[in-house]
Amino acid sequence: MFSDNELKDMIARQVGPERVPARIRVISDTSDFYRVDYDDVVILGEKPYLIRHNEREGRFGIEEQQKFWVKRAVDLIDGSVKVVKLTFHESFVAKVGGLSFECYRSPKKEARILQLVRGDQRFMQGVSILDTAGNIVRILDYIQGKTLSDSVLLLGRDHEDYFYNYFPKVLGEFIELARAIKFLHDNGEKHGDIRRDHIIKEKNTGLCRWIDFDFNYLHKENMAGYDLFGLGNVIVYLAGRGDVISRDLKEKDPEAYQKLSAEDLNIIFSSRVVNLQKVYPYISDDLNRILLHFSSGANVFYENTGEFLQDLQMVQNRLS
Amino acid sequence: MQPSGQACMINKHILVAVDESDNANRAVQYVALMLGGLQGFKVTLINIVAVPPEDFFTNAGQRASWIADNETKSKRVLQGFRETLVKSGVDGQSVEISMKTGEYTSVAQVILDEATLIGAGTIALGRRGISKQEEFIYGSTSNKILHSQKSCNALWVIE
Repeated sequence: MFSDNELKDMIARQVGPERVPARIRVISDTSDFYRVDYDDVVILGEKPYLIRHNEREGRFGIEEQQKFWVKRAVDLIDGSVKVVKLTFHESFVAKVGGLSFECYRSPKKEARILQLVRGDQRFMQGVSILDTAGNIVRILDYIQGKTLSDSVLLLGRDHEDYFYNYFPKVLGEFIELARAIKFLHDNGEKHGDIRRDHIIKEKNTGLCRWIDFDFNYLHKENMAGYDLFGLGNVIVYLAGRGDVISRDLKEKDPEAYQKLSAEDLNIIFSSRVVNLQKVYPYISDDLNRILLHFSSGANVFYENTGEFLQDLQMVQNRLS
Repeated sequence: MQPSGQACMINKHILVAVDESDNANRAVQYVALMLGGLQGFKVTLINIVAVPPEDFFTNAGQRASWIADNETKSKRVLQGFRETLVKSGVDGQSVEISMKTGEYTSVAQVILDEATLIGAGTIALGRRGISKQEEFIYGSTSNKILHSQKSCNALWVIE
């Protein structure tokens, strides 16, 4: 399809003549993703992509790990940076707190959601293409920016300043994100891996977008339960301008620590404080009531994203 | 005018939702105990084969094999509980079995839809004691039926 010289010309044009490799390996069957390496050219849908490094992902203090099936790449036709996700099936039992989930990674699910959310700026954008071996490869627009969780840590002199001057806007952004998840649920889909680092605040536009839809879990009665738990963790994090950990509080704010009981902690992650009003008394009752739905003391849970959104909306209406 | 104290019409069709669990066994034993020897009742045993989404499987053959295995188990469970009821004195002619296979979002909804479809007046099912965490994240079929059922006269949740 493309001669070596044509590819070398394209590489020189898009990434610079000094970056042109002496020998080019062209790959169209990506089944063995370990074989797809730096400086290879992968042909997908008749377009050549120059492969750069493997993407990495860290989680909750665990050192970042390479995701060998996720490659940063350059579209050699227009020079845009892409994230190329190759087909990787895995299934495992995940433990969250004491609960088990049968989880799996599904390229097909991610491809389906990419199609569903095409043009919707609340989600990462991209297309899926079959390689010559029939593997579902997702070609995603690279989003430059920080995770939402990192970006809120930079807001405000202290929590009080953050809460009064920045949180109302952050809440508005979060409501849009929760609406986006409701849209998935309404269409019979789950995000599957709602975490605060799966929300990127785009540098140029300031838009917050969900990323990574290839995870799925076998739900039981409530299809949305695990996604809702994820949304709950994110809003608690945003309201607290970070996780409020009970043992940290013991040293930093012993007075607040003394007021806490087991019921004030996260229903699954028992080190995290959910009843933030006991730590930050200026947090309003209506917001705190939402947070308490995710606490050990909760007797009523949100059944669906719509109920959660309704309560959030009331807080936002009062703040605006 | 209806005389006070007149017995209301009782719908004598009971839908019993079962799976392989001990809770289901307890539910069937309870129904057997309640009905053994009584005339005029009809029982439908239902088991739901909730098929995971298509993307759970790597190919169509794997999905077909999963369904075949689980339908075999389902038939065994249903036949086993049917025998339990008959041995307890429930008329074999009055016991039907129903297996539902599909990609269902909610098992509770399948049970409710079946109750409406067959005109059952009572739904019976077992409940395992689940923790608050489990109810929060997994959801509870019996709770959902309790809160959603409108057409049935009664719901028996057997602990």
